[in-house]
Amino acid sequence: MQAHDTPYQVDGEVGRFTFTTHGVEQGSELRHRTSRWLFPPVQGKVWYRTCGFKEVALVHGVVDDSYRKTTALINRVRHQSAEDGTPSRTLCDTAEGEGQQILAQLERQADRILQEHHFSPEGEPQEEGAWGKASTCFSPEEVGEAIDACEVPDDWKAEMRTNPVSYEDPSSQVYTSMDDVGVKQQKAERDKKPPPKRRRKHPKEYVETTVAQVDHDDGSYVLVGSHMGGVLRLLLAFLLDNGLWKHGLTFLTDGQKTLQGAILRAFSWWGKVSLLLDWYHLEKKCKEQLSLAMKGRDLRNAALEKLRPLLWHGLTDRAIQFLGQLDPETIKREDAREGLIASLERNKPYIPCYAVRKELGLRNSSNRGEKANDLVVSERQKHNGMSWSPEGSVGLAAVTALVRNQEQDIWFDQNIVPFELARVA
Amino acid sequence: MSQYEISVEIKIKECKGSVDTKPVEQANGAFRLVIPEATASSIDECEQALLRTNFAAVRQALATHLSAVSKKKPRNAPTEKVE
Repeated sequence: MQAHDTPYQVDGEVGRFTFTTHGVEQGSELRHRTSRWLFPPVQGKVWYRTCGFKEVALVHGVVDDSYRKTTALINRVRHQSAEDGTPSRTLCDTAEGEGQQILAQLERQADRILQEHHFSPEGEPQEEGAWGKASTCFSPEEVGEAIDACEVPDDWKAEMRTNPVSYEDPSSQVYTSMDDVGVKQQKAERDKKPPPKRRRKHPKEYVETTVAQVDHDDGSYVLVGSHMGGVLRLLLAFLLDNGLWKHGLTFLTDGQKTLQGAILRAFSWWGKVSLLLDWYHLEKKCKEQLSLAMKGRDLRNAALEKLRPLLWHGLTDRAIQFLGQLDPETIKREDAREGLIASLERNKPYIPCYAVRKELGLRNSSNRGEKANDLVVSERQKHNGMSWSPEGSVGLAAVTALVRNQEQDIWFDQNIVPFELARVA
Repeated sequence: MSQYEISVEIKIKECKGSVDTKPVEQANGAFRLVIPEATASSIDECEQALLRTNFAAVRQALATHLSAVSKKKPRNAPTEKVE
């Protein structure tokens, strides 16, 4: 029996400690090396982190607070000094590493699920399937009643009936709100003399994390990744693994061209895919573009008062016509008006009749996705003075999403991501 | 499979000698912290002194136990070459 020279290092809920492990040598063979065979093997100077430590430091710590604050807190509650306790930098590496492991595990699970369902690794079906075929819509009678309930002129109602966006039955749908969230990117080296803000030649660089919130019935799930394509692939695996492949897919987006294109490409073969332009972003876009286009706030507000009801009732052609007929004397920048018209024309297939959807109790907003963005990325990562590496930002977002999906216990215990809809409060 | 018993006993009693700045490990594995009377009479300070000693003892107990466990040779242990 021989004691090993290198002690086994543990970072636990009780604090940091080390202990001696042993082995038995028989000739040229080492038998019974406990540092590998009895305890979880760790590389070099790495500390083994207990489930209790991860729960305290990650779930109740870095998900909400800065690494520095969390380090101070955990060392304080474990009654260890800064020298003997966990360093802030180590905690940062731990959280980011844990996030990268979660993402890698999700990728592996997605590979397995896609293979099991006879899909290519990129997410293309290799066989015919009834994808989205169980999607149903409200009956024409129900839609007609909802249109009739709107207090608008009859010619508007006639046009509302021709709106291209259908009125899906929510129980037959999976709703997905998806967006990119950008946080300030960390520079490889700090500037010795940063240029004054007003004279900055190069715009700030951002690290993008894609966040998707999936909703079906009472359950929801948050997916994160460093790029849209990867998150859409995870979404497909999630739908297949949760038996949601017969449902229709309804995406609520902010109108970002690249996102819309990526969704349509990724799910072009799915039987029923609907893209909806979120009302909040449509209204916001109109406000911003009209502010640029028109001479003064009063004129803008007057135009907006007329434009808003047209778009709320899904009358995109009338809205475009209205913008085209604005008095040239009231226009400050023609390019802004043309930009708004082009945007409405491009998004026409995705602008539903919001008033009728509201009457039918259907979603008009991607607010749940926006909330997920806030909870998973913005609240923790968008603060003055904070900047992130691409791995650091998406890694921490992955840990936060794990906690939000209530998967942390099984992950810490078994390194498995359950990948199931959770009833999120 | 053998079983393990965990028992904890904490004693606070009057003593003589110099005051300690941090818990000191004794020969029998116990931890000892000598505190001044003022600290012993303060709820807040006594609580902190007790926790400091307790956490140090818990860490040491865990380390000693795990090291002892590692001396027990498991059945069917794999072998590998000495590096």
